[in-house]
Amino acid sequence: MKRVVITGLGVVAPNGTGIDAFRTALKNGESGIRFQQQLQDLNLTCQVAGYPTADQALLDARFTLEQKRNMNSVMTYGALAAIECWQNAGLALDPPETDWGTGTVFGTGLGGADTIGDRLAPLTREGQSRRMGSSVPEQAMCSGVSAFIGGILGLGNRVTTNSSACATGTEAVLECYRHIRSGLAERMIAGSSECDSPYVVSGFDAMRVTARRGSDAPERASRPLSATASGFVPGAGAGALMLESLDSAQARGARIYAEVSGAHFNCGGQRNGGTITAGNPESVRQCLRAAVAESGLEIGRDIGYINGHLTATGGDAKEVENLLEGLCLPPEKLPWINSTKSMIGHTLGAAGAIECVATVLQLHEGFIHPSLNCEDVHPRIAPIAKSIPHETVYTPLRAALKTSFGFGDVNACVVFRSMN
Amino acid sequence: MDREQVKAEFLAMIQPFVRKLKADDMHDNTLLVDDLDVQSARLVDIILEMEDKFSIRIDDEPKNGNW
Repeated sequence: MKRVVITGLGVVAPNGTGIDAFRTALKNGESGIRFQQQLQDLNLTCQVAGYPTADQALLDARFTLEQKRNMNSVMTYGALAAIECWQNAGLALDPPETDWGTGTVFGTGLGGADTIGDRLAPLTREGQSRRMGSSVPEQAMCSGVSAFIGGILGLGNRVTTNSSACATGTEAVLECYRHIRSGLAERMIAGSSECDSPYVVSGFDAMRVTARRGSDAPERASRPLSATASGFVPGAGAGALMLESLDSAQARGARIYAEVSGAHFNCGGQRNGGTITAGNPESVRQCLRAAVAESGLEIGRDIGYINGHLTATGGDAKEVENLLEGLCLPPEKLPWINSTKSMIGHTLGAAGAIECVATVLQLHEGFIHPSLNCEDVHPRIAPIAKSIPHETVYTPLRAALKTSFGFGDVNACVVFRSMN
Repeated sequence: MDREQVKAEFLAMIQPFVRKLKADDMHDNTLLVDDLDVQSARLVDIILEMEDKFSIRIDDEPKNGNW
């Protein structure tokens, strides 16, 4: 089995487009959540969201006229992140030939919801399908983002989109890790993306799981771990990680951020307390134990930081309890734990990838970003309060655990190990 | 609008889609797909733009089987 390392990172996050901006925002505890007039106009309960910005100069530099005409937000975010990741890995853009040794698993939760809602559905209903133009299928299809990236970068190995709700991005890392480990590719871009359409927000708003408060102070609206959390703040964006065999990375002298040393993905079968929206506790614990066991590392001695799923819903307390039970830890022994969602909201299908990028950055550079808006820790979470940083902590880290849990009772955990 | 004006409008319209040669190097017999490497899927978009620009309706099937 080949060893797998991370040699490139790319991100389009609500609090920073590009790795440099994202890193600065994480260290400074900067929120990317803003009031969204469109959500108020549509009479949604949640009127704040974390949407990235990408200025026109960047779009003009990255994409051709034809591409700009035919891409929606999930494709734009994903491609920007993937292109940055590619260049961050030291690879030249626009290779003339197909790269048979490199592929991508680039996921999404809701794909081209904006294209479907704004063009496909209304024009079809009006009997005007002839006016749609040529690019609706490639924008609406779930694999649109991976297909778009594959064409830009000339990828010739596996090119596909996965979809596992909020676990999508972390699952993509796992899939790429296993693909390279098995010798089926030298490099894989693992990532995920989610669009910034109100059609994404409205469904969750109807479920009453989005934040009901915060329009007057958007940066305080996303409150994972807090006693006054009122639901998750929706977000959008993309994250990308270049996974590469250690042999290939060393042969070309690539910078190595970290090693993927363990990973696991499972489902609770929606039994034993698990439902479409809630996790089967036993499956969560098994996933945690399996990922850590595969890594050969120990919590505490090696794994000094956990990037939680932690969405600011009623699931936060259960997640902490599952961590303690699954990893057999007394509360005082839980390593540092934070929620990147406190700064960027819940970017849904993009969450796992953006948060894996955050995890690797913190591991590589030896810092732990603050978990915002949880000064009033939930009473059931209080036993681990000392593990929650409210300001940036600077400390060397040997390894970190990323956890993601999604609708469908699915769980994904990855352990990253420092190569320093 | 005379022929040269129409041609100029058309060349500007297809510029985003042309991947080989410059639109200025075209002549009347230049084929969009074979010579200019326009993606065949995008011909639909060019047709829609032409219909809007020139207030015409273009049949969905090409006359001689060539675009």
